[in-house]
Amino acid sequence: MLIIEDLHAEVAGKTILRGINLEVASGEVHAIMGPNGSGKSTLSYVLAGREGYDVTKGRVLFEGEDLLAMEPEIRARVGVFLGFQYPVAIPGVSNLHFLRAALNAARKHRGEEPLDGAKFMKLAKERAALVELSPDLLKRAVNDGFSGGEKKRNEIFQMALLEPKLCLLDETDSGLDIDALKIVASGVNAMRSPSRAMVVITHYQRLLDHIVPDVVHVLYQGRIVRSGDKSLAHELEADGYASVREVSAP
Amino acid sequence: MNALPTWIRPAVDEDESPFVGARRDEARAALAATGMPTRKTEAFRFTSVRDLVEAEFVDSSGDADVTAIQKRLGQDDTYRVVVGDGSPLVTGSTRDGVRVTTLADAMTTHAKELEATLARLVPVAHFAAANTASFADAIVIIVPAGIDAAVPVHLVHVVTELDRPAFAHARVIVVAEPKSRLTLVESYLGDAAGASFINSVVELRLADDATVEHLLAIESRGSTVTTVGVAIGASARYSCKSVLLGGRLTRVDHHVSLDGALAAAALEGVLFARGTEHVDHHVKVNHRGAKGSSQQRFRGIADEQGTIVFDGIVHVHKGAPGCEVAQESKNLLLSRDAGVHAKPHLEIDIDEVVASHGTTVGSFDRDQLFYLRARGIDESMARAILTHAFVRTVLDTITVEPIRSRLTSALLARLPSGGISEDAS
Repeated sequence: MLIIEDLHAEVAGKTILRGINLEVASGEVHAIMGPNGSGKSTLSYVLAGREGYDVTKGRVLFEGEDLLAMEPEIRARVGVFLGFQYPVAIPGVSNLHFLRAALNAARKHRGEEPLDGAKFMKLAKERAALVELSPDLLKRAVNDGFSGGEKKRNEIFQMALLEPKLCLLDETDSGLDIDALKIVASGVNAMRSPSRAMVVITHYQRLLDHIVPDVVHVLYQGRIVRSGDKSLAHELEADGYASVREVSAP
Repeated sequence: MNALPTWIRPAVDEDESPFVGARRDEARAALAATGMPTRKTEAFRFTSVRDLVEAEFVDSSGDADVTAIQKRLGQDDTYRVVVGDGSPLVTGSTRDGVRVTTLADAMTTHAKELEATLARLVPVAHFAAANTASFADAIVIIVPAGIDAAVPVHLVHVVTELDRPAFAHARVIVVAEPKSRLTLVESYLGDAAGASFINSVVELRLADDATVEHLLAIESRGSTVTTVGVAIGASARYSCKSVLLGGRLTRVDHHVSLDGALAAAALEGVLFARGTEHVDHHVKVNHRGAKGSSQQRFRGIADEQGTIVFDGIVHVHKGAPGCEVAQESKNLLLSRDAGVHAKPHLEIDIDEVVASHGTTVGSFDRDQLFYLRARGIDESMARAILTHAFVRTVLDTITVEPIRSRLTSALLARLPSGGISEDAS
């Protein structure tokens, strides 16, 4: 589903990604771990198409198509979803209004009819229940005045509603207490499916106890330096990223 | 000094009260001394009124197409009065007992209040003085003590022209007696061609514990200059929502005086200009009583070559300890050629004041734009959504339906990508 080949990218003239190679197939959950500054968030922003994140080399294919050639909104419509590390508050825009516009944009892209208000509401309530997001928060302005946990639950709720093919979750666990983490993880697990792929980016192994990955990669200085099964996450937990640094030292 | 406009009229009515004649003389003397404003006048630095001062206008014809006006405004549960087309004013009462009457009639019962109000709550200068010198009759709205008026009084300002640009001087006085409550809606529609000019003066006197909610909606394609003066008594509350939707030249001068202790004023507004429109809102708030509170919250949007001017002054005088003052002006530039001049300022003569103020002028927040796009919403739609959100904070606080939704739709229709559906929630 997702093929990343020799991806190099820079931000404000500074090279952050230095040759990433990654293949994620349908039904798989990959975890990308790494210390601060290793390029985890840059990778997620490059895949989502954020301005200012410039690809200098390499390519990314999503279902065989050139992902990097698409505008951010097209990437979303074809099924790429980024769960933000820091969800943005938009005062004055109701969560539901925004999501209905988003969902109908994707439906239009696929040649489907827009969902009417009643059907949309039914779907929204059903998906909100997955992450125990109260109906009250649905009507509020997007992330405005939400707690850290509510913002992350709102991200997963949006993901459940938009039903993407590829879910990129950028440090979804940051700022969550253990109860909120469990709720978010169960929402993510409910969406695991043979037709969907996930890339879970995290600093800590803790999240991976709840969202168990098929493959774990270690990102260090803009490259994937190790890959393995879920036991790699436990190894990192025990030994820290120091062991990785030794391996990757020139 | 420049020549005075030809549309300033000599005294109109020999039978009117001597005090009215005296106020007209005073206004004419002020005009003779200082003339009309030019770009050298500080308060008109960014707003040229030369075209208005030099233009030849004919009197509004008195043939307002009331059916068309009613159709445009639709049904709303208000007590509607059409003003400014030159027809004689009609007197009446709302079902709550609010009197809407003429100056002469109101003088028989409220001479003292009128003498304290007419041409006393606005500066004796410029457009207000031109109005004082020229107005034919004033509409006087009297809210009797203790009356909580459920039905808003709705003044619809129009200009009717036959073949040449027409104008009207509208004069309004509101006397809100102690513990009364009124909602006053003013819709400035102007004329269809956009060549008209309305010069209005609205003076509101709020006695102790009175509440007036004022909605000032200027939708004229032509020129509108409005001078509003407000005197607020002890524990009285004045709120104003101004929605200034473009116009060739739209200028509002708001003079608010918090006279009594614990008086409160909340001024909020949306200013929008596109094409070559020019929209200017000047606010001057004077705190004269103790423990008063005043808030200003304005949102400006300038598109194409439109220009927005916002100037807000809050002056806390020596006799006004313990006041709370907040002032906020946020402005959005939708085009490179649009202009915003925003200047909030505080003048504080004493120490004991809680004050905050802030002004921003800018484009869209990149993080917000990306967040919307990352969910599949295209850039132009994202911009429309963010623009709508920007003004919603003010528009949503308008309490008079269906006027709120009518104004919201009117504004949305003027935004670059047109209306966006509001029915999702």
